[in-house]
Amino acid sequence: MDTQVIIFSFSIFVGTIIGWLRFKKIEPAFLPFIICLTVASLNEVASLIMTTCQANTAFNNNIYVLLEALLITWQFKTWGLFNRHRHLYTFILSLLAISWIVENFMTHNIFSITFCFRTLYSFIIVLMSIHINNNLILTYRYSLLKSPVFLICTGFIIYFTYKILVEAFWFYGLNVSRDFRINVYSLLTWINLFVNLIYALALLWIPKKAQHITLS
Amino acid sequence: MDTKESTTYHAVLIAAAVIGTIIFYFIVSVIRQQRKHRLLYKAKIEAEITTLEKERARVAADLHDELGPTLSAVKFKLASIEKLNGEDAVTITKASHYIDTILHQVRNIANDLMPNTLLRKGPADAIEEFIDHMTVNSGLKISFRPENMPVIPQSHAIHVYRIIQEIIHNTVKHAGATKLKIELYAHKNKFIIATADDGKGFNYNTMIKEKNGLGLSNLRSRTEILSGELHVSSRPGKGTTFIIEIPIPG
Amino acid sequence: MKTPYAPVKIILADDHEIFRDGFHSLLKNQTGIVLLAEAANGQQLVTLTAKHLPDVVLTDIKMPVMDGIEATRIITEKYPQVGIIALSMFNDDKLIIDMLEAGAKGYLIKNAHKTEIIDAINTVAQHNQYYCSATGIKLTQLIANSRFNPNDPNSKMIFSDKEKEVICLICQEFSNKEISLALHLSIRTIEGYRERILQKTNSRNTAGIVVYAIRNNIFIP
Repeated sequence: MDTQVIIFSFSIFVGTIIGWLRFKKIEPAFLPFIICLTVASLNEVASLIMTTCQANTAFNNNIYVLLEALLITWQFKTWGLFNRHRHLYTFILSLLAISWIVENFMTHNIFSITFCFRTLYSFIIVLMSIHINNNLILTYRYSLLKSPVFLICTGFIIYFTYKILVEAFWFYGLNVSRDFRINVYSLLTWINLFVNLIYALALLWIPKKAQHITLS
Repeated sequence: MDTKESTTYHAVLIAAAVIGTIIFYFIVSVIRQQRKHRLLYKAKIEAEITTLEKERARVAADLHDELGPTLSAVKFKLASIEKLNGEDAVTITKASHYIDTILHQVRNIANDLMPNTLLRKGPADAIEEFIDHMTVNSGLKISFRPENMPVIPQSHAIHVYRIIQEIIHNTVKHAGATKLKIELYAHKNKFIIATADDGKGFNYNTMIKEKNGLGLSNLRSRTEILSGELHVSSRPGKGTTFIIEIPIPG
Repeated sequence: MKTPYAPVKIILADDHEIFRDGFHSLLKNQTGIVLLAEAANGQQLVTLTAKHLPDVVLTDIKMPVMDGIEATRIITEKYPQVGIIALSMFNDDKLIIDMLEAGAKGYLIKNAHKTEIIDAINTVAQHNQYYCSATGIKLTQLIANSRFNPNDPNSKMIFSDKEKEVICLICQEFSNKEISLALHLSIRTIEGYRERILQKTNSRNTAGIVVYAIRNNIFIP
């Protein structure tokens, strides 16, 4: 693959490193997100390995998208999105899991890149992010631009919206050439870079755990 | 890619750019609206609380200055009644004592509304006085240690005082604690109020939803006026901790 | 020095008419005290003092036009033989210190008992200081640490060790009975000590003893 693409994709490591370095000092509510970044980093490494071995990257990517979907949904639960609708949480998790299983074992196989699951989970994540951001707008008492949750959700919205569009082009190409598709896909890598930097920034700005005094 | 695809590709780029601009514009306008809303909200709370404090100060001054002398005059009048038989003399003495009680209560009410010490000597002294008063009446053991106190401007002093007043009131009323520790100190460019009690704690989420949990929202409002941050940590059975960080102005 | 037979002439200053009226009734049948005039503010007080030259002045602290502190300063300067008693509503008012430092010889809280008020007037008429008996411990400390010192600095009183012990216990708000138990002496003996200490420190009540003790390092709070 293109060097540029590789470098851009590896920008995810910035966020991951920052996340783990700060992990002890910050609020534990961001754990799922940090794990998700870690899994993404591992997936990039795996893809790189697979490519150099001339193997198909579909396998690790399929597993990765499932993990990404579940981890991000978990993160939304930690942020309190499902506080009033516990069953919705289980419903979404099940929906994601079931559709992934159906698509990867029944309709297609795990070694081919598929379209439905990716579109579905991107769509769900965008909706959940919009919901949280709206809530934040009305209730957040400080500068929104510095709120890590806002930044991360905005990153999600940008990335996954574009992802849906690009995935659509990738599969329903309408008789377009491979070059065309690759060019369209490279759009996504730019956006991926941008969003990864936003994630890193958000992690940098997560507030430290408040100090406690002990009763003595 | 041939030219037709090239054109399509350019069309895609343009579409992506347009979507990007729309999202960007949306986010920017959201942030700006939120900022405006935030400032408005803060100004509104500040106005409300300032009016409240002014009212309190006025009532306290009136109680202090107007009621007192008249009650003293009544006492004098009673004391000037002579040629009494034993029973009447006892009644007069009792009446005198009742007036003393009234004066004492008036004084307490006035002080609770707006403590004079706060205006004359600053929050640390006023808080100490309040604590002395509360310890006597409630049986809660309160330890108060102000260390390297920064200079607090008058406008902030009343809020700091009220915050601590509120925390102490809450602890006495709800926590069922035996000890309460209060620390006040400066740390870097912030001013920290930290309290901890050994009471029964509460569930934060339930407390927030309760309309009668006005204590917490009061704390929140005052902290916001001071542009500070409030951290509450409480678990049922484990006591409650409040940490309030306030940036020192100037 | 006032002769014991002429009545004490006093002037009262307070901005509340009702209070002045009540005070008036209080002195209705007191033959030893005569109320010459009433003032509603510091300015009137100074004028009336100049005109009548009373023995004792009782004045409120917070008054319009001119407050009690300013009036006290002026009167102390021009007519030092006039004894001034500050009147305050509550017994830990820090303004009392200001009054004492401005020249007042003593103070009372406004709802003090009739007998105490009369005692205070007579004491100050004899040019001695008077601290209200309901004084709190904080105020006594402040007075002890303030610039107010009516005692003659040259007359250093000597106290026996036993007397110093009694003084320290009095300063810690022990009652006579508690002191007698602590020192294994009879109550009568303690009462005797107290009388002697009151005389030596030139005080009328416990508050005076405490102020003296703190000031002369007999008791460190």
